[in-house]
Amino acid sequence: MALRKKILLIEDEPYLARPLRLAFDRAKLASLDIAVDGIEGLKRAQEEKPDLIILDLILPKLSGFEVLRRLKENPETKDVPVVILSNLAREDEVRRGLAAGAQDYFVKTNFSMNTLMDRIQRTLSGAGGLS
Amino acid sequence: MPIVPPLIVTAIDLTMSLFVLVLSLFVMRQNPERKINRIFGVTIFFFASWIICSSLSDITGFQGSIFWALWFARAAIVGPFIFCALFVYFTYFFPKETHELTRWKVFALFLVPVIGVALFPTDYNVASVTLESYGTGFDPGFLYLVLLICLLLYFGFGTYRLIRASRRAKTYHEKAQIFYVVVAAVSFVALGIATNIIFPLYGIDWLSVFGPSLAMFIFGTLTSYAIVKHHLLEVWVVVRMGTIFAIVFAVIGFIYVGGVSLLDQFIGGTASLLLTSFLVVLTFEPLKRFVEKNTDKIFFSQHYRIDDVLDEVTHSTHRLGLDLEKILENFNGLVRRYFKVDRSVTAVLTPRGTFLVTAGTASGEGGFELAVDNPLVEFLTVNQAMVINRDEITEELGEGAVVEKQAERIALLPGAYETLVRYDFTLAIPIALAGKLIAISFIGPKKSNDFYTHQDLQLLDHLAGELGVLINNARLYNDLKKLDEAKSNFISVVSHQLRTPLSAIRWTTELLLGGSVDKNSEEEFLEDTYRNSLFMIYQLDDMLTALDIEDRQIQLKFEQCSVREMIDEVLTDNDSLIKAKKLNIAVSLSPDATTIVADPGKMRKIFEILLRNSIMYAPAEGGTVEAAVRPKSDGDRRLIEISITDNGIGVAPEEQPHMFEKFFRGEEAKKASPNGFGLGLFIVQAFAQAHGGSAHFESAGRGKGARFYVMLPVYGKEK
Repeated sequence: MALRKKILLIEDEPYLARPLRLAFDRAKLASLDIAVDGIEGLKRAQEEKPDLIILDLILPKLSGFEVLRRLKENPETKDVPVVILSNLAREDEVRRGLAAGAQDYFVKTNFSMNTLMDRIQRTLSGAGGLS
Repeated sequence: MPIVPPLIVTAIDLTMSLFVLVLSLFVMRQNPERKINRIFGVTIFFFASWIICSSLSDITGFQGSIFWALWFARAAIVGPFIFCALFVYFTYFFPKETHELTRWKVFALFLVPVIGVALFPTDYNVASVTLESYGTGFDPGFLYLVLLICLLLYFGFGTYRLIRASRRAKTYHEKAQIFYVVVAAVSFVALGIATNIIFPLYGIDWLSVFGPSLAMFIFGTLTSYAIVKHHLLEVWVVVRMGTIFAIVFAVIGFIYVGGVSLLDQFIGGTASLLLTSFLVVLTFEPLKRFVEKNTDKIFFSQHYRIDDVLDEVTHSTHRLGLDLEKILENFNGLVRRYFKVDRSVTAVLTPRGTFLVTAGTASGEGGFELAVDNPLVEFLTVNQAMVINRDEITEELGEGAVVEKQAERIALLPGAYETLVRYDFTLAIPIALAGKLIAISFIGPKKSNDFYTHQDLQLLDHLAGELGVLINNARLYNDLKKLDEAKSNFISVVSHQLRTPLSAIRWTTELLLGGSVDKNSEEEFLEDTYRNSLFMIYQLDDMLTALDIEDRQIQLKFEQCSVREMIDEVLTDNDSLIKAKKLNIAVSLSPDATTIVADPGKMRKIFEILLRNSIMYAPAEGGTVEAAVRPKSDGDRRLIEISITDNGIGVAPEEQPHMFEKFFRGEEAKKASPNGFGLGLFIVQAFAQAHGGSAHFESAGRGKGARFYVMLPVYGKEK
């Protein structure tokens, strides 16, 4: 039996983190770890070495763009796939996120929870499949 | 001895005479009230009469009329006798009236010349005339010797008087004026002596026919320049006007004479004269322009042509577009090039009301700023007339006052000239649009140290007008761009801020509807949905409040409000966050400050924003928030002072001036709480001011907490 995948969610809004946690628990996609600011997110990424990082962009202490940049610079975390889950929806913001190394970019309001879970599952499968 | 055709000699002599006569008329017209202008005009008239009479003597001699040749040869002596006395008379009024002249002095001055004039028809003057290859020759009589002595003595005396005046002259301008007249007088005498005495000793007689004309040309132009200080003619302009006129006159004269001669052979008589006149009238204007243009190009490339300047301004306007810095650089570069000055800068009105020259627009100059209360700025704001800093310049200043002396000018505008003197500029040109001063052009002295001519000043005035329009357009464009950016940013901020609660509502209700939420968590999720909808309402409410504030649509309904109740309500609303962060809350109300007459909705909003901010930014585990309300007095006014203090993130010094600006959020605030429009403090200040009060804050810096104050009148806004 393969080890359960680990996902690190870096999201400061509790009103968003709660439904996401519920959805992940129901979907049994992976175990979900939540960091509430950019600094904590970086620390957890280095320590836990998740299989996927879901990253918000507007974060306290350190912005999501900066977190992404440091993740990609750090040899220990640069290969961890990152998907952005943000409400910054302008084209230049999306381009910036993808250019900074994110694998995918989801605008929160544009996705239902079910669709989001499907997409994340596909991203995880692409990264090695589920148990 | 070269044989110069008499016709050419006469034409040249008459041209020169006519030119100088026209110039003297111009000088007299500049200021007919001024004695010096009139004296000069009369002097030139007599000088010209000498040459005209000599020319007429030549012409009549060649036509065979010995009688008239002799008569004109004798009449020619009148001019020089009178004008040499007039020259000395002139020195009693130039550059200023000396009041030394008495009747006896005038009598003594004119005695010998008048006697000489009285004797002009006699043989003492010219006994007889002969026809020579160069014109009419004559035997000068005793009177000519007297004339020669008079010329030498009078011009010598006059020159001596001028040199003495030059030593007494206090200003550069006066000295320059006297210098030009002295040069004129000396060159006249020198030329006269050279062409009529020295050269003939070596057998060179023919030059004597040109001597007087040349002398008159030099004397006339230099003295005109010296006199016409009113309009500050430069030597170049005078010479240019004279040369162009002379060449045009000579060319047209030549064409006319040639035309008559040619047509005479085919048509003859009056018809040829009429036809030639018709052709001259038809071609005069284009020919004049052609000669002027080419004379300018060949001789006067140093001096600018107005058309060139205006063309360049027009073309550069298209090229520069709406970049203010480029527009100013271009204008100042143009001024430096065409007017031959080292320094030209433009001070532009800032939002603070000051006038600023930025180093970038000054090309090597340091920038400087003129305060709102600078006397020069105040003068230009009201009068919008050019200010010129040079000695002895007559100009019109505010209210039509015409002043001659620098001292008078400074007394009329105390302090205004200090700015020009301090920065060593000669001109301050106001640039205004719709009556409002928007910029000031400062121009230094010309490299040649010559004055700015009337043409220069008129052209600069015109250019300043053009520049005003360009500056205004650039400003409007920048404002529009900023407005557009602000609008885009605003839409971006609003849409992002509202998306967050909307995403939460969407996902939460999706999970609830999908049955994914267990019964125990249902209430929590429903409450989340409710809070997020409230958050959106508050944010939109803040936005609309901000719009109302901007549109001055705030209306107050005054009631007796309980301060304690309002504070308690707000603390209750934020209870969960207070508990989560384990904050210490202290409320201290003075017994004299428990109620206030105010709009309850607006008051509650003030407390809500200030308390919410402090709660949000106070540190967890050890954070404190204190709310205090105390009475204060300000003269007769009874006030309430509300202060909300926290030991949280504080405000960095560079951010402090912006705290009450719409949409502004400090960096630390953004890090602590990324969401928020940045409208809270803007609303607090607007509401406080609407009540007749005020808002301010103190903070020792980043991480050192803050205290926000709102001062309100106890009994509502005074009417």
